[in-house]
Amino acid sequence: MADKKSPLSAVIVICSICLVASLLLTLTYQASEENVRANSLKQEQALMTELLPEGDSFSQVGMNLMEGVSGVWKADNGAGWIVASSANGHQGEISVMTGISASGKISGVRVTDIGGENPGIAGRLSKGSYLEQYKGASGITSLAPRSGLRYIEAVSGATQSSAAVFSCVSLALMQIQEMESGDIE
Amino acid sequence: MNRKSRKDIFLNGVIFENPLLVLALGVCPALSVTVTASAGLAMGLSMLFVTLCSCVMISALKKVIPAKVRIPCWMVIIGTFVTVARLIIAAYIPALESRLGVYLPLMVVNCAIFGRFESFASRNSIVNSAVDALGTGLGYTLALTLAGAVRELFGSGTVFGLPVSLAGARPAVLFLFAPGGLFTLGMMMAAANKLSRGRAAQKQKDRCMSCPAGTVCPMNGKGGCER
Repeated sequence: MADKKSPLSAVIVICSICLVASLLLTLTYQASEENVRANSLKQEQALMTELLPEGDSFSQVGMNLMEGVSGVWKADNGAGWIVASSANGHQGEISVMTGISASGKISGVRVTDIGGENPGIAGRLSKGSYLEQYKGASGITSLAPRSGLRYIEAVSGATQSSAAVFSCVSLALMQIQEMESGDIE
Repeated sequence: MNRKSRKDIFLNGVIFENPLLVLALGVCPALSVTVTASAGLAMGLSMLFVTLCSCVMISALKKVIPAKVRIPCWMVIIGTFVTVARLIIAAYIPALESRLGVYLPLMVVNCAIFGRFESFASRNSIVNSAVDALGTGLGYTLALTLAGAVRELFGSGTVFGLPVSLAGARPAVLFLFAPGGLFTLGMMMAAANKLSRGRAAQKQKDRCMSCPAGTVCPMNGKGGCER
């Protein structure tokens, strides 16, 4: 390693390294930018089609979003809605996407981000039949079965994460009910 | 070190100076990422790429970088390669990006990589540094994958996402938390020491070559600081 160099040469060396590094990063960014954007769009559309199979393509709508709801998409063929919402779990914010058909029934629920939650624990929400419980419901309850509403059982050992998903889906249902009653597009 | 054959340099990185199991470097990401075997493997491979590229670069620039500003220079170099790795992963393997989370960018300050810069890449030829980086990266990848497999098996009852029977026993969630991680790593270190018949522990004693404080330590090369 070069030891006896003047402070000026140190400045020149570090500046040159920074310049070359930024050039390399600019090139990599330009080369990957298109793929990154296409990937996220593709993932988003694929997830939405999975949540609402009747829908073909989706466009974002959304005025007067409720607190906790980050986006609402409407199927272009009128098959239903997709709502992105989030709520606090045990250690972080859990984000969920919910598909709701035109008749107001839940067609699918997917946990999109577990935030700061332990992946081993919050990951169990997506593995078992927990998310399946929501399908077909137009109203849900997590405390006790009630007439007309579906009872959702939490995943043992991941109660707070389950509760966060429950809150997210409830929010999504409320958001769509509010939008339809207000006839907002 | 220069007299060592390349095979020795490689094996040294994989086994006798394994960053995780012998030198106990880079434990933070290891504890957090190894909840599943596939995440451990992904983290290890990303680290292999970053270590290889930055070690070659630092070895090539060893006569240019002044000793006083070597740390900031190294950080710029490693930061560049970590960002390149992140962009490539985001563009071509998007599922991996969310799985590694914050630990991918945090590789910039990973002491396992810095240890290699200080002890090897800044003093050896480009080819030898590349061999050393490959060995170290592979050693870290193997250790992370194994730790991930053990924790996933006992914590979730699966390995690489495939269900594995635990002979009727239920998975213990503790393995997915930091204490379970520490326990797993501790057991793996003990096993590494046993399998190398104590050579791993002996290596820890005279580890001046891989000590991050190697160049500034007055005991460098003499040993004795471990007491």
